[in-house]
Amino acid sequence: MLFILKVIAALILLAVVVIGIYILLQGKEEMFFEVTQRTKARLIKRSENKLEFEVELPMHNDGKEEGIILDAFIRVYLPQEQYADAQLRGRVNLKEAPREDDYFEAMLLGPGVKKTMVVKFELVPEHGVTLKQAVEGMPDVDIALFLDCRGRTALYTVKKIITLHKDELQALLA
Amino acid sequence: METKFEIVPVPTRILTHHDDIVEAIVEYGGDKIGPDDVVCVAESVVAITQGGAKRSEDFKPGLLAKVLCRLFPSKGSISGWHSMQALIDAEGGMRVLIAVICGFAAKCVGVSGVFYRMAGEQARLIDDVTGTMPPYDKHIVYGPHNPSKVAEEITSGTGAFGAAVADVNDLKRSCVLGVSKGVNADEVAQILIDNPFGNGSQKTPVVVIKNYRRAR
Repeated sequence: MLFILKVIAALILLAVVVIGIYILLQGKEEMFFEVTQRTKARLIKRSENKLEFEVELPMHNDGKEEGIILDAFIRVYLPQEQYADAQLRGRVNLKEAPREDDYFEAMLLGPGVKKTMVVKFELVPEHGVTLKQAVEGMPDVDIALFLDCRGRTALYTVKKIITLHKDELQALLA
Repeated sequence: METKFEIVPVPTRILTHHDDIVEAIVEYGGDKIGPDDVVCVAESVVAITQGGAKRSEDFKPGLLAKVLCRLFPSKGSISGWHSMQALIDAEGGMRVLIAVICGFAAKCVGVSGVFYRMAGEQARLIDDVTGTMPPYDKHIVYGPHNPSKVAEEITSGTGAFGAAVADVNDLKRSCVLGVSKGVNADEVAQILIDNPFGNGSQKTPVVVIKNYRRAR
């Protein structure tokens, strides 16, 4: 009887070790959002009271498992204390699945897959200044890109910083 | 003259957990439904209206979920911590563990599907994130609760001959989860084999099989 119990215990221990090694070998997703490789700001549309432009940045999954991007959004770090003559807003989309609304549809990023994020911006002049004046007065702006991610394991948030340089914005008016 | 049935998709708005499925069917399809017809509704939409869509962060994955999920292919719906925990919450940890052990043993002798037969109804119905259209793309969606009762409620609420809750996709896979009295589940599954619900963006989660009773 004791011998049988010992065999069962040994088998359970063996199963635990084998499963543990199996899980370790599976790996995980490793997603990269290459903000340093982004494109320069590209003009979409310009009117008297609004400037629309976008930047693209590549992303890829170098891991062994599928990654999931549940949500993506930006925060523009341009407080009114710093500069109040323009309102800058933006949204994030997948280039391969463009949308007109503010929604980011959850997506899978398989191992070895590369895709492109598009961040679209709107700049609107405030306090009666013209669009030209608003853009010419803009400082360099940091924009935080947040991504809610998941793989087979825990939920986590990635935060990346994109910097829009003032001369890049001014070039859009040229 | 032989009576043939006809399949009529019923477009609706995106139905949410704020909606009642019977009221929605009456609102959008009431004028298309008659006493000889069978109303079919997509199972994920029924589940959503029952409150069966949860966000990943609503789950607290335990050790059992974290280990068991790794034993499934990564493309499966229960291959992640949160979706496996969703299954454990619905069917019980011990049941799922025993199903995994038995399923593994059966696989060793060439028998497939044992896990899904033993782990409970939700094992094959849970959809992980990205499996449902917005705004439920970020949700883990359970299968519907008590689909036959839902079918009976649809029947009495619409005046149809019968109703069915179906799980159909574009890959010629059609399964009826629950039917009202008098409706043949296998027959309805075959009628729906070409997925008249379309994909999510078409927003036709309800389909009416016209003249079902007379065409049999």
